[in-house]
Amino acid sequence: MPMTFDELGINLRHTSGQEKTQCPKCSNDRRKSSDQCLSVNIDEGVYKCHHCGWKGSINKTRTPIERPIIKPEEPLTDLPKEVVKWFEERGISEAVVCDAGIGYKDRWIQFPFYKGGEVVNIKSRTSDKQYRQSKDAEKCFYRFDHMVGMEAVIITEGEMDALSMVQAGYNNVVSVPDGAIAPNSNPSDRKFSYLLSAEEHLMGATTVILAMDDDPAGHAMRDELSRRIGREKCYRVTYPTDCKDMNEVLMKYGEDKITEIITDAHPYPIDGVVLVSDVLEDAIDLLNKPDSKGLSTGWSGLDEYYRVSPSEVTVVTGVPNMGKSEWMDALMINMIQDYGWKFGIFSAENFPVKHHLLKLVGKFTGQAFWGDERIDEETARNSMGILNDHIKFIGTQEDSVTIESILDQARILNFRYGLNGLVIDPWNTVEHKFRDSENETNYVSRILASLNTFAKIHEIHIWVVAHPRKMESDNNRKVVVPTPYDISGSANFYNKADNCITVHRHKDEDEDYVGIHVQKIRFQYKNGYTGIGKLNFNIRNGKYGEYFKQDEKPLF
Amino acid sequence: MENILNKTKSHYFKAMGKIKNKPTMDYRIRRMRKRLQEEFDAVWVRHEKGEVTFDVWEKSLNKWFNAESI
Repeated sequence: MPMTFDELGINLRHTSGQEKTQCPKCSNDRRKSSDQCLSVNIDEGVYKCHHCGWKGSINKTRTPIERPIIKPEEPLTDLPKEVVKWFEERGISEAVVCDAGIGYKDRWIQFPFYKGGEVVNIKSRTSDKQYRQSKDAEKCFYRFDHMVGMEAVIITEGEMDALSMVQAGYNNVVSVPDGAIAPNSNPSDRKFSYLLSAEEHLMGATTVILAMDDDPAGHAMRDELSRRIGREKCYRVTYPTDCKDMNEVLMKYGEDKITEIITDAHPYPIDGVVLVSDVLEDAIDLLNKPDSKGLSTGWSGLDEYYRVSPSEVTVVTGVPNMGKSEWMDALMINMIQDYGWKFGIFSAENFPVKHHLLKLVGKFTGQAFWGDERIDEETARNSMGILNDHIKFIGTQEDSVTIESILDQARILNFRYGLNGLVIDPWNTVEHKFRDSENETNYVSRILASLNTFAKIHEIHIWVVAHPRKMESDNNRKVVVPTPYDISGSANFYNKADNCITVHRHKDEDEDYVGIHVQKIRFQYKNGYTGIGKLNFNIRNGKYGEYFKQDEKPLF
Repeated sequence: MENILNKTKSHYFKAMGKIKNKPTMDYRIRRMRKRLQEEFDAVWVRHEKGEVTFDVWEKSLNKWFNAESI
């Protein structure tokens, strides 16, 4: 049996996934020799030609997707005196070291990762801070078993910090397995794969104290973890000025200081009273950032009116058939292409999902997905391969979707993948459940408040698409541009949203454009000011482009 | 470590040889390609330092090459 596709003469462009290519058996003899009639599943090692019927499989020795997890053997816990002394110099007693099952081999100190009473991983380090982990072992928190069923969990950045806290009398301490993340980096979901196995316990905990290192990498890790876990229950610690982690605190000040630091842990400033000292460092960070403006939407003509910032809610309205959802999709694709944002989408009017996905692919590639000149399958597959990482569809199964159920799903998606944006399109397809004696105005106020809180806690931008009450016309029988006050339900849409936008198509003898009427911007210093941005809509590929008047169009 | 580096190199050149580069006038796709290429460069550097696994490296490469094939 052949070992590789190369041996069979099958040319592939990728190393995983499904792909279509030319058949080495029949393509050369065909009039349409470029037809990609051979389907190949690279991961499973199977192929089939839809023209000549040639099919088979290769002897795949490696399956990149399903890699078995290997459990390492328990380390030898017979520690040399030098190793015990090394720990004691760092304030950690022999009793704590023995209780943690720490081992030693060659010159490597081995920290076993217990889960369910079994060793699932071993992280080793030398005294000069070289690190390695067991190959193909399961990723989980260090001291995983100690967080099970705990109401309060303390998370540190390294094993030594965790043991320092154990030394100070805390048992509900775990450590992340791979240390911190680089500041300003875009960490992959795999970096946080250990969160999946801890999801139940972290979601169940009422308090999570994040005791990361006091350096930029530690701050980045702390912010990302708190964003995923939920800032409403996360606490930060403050170290003495001459210490950057718990082990240093233990060495310089002793166990009592650790207790003091944990007791003084303060919540993320999200609600209630916020002291200047709570946000001082964050404000200085903002001041020192070279570019503190929101992100461009991708249309330069719109930049001065509307930019996208995290932790905000934007309400988008417009009369039916004016392109609200199309513009929303186009904006989403721009954010994916320009910044790699990840979105959760509830888009009830675009079910089934396959139709919506094709519309998004059309916008993503700039090519039509229908008609004779439609996008080819290979391009569509490549595009979907990228979109798979950036888009998650919400609420596709339930009979009745409520805002609460959307936020629940978004919370889980954010935990697993780290969302940047959430789209609820449109508001009227969501089932609205009023509380006893609650009228529509109070309901809208309550729900928008919960959306605002969700956006701020998780640093997600939420877009809500809502229809106006009814279409109104002026004296010339032209449709009037609706304002957020016209949205069906309540004036709270205008009052409580951070940004309000109306999408309206203007068409007359002189001009034909889509007007993005920015009617409210809360933070004008970074997100723009009210006004009208003009865009052109291309019906073939569903993309919005910069607006040129007919006689201003470039000749070339 | 040397074997790992050779593996990524041969993998990279093999994949590079098979890619069908599609020129595009869409500036947003060009920007996305540039961004994904830069992200892949950073992942490769981190892979050489042993900070990320080969699977992460491969996923990043495929993502960039997917964008080049659009």
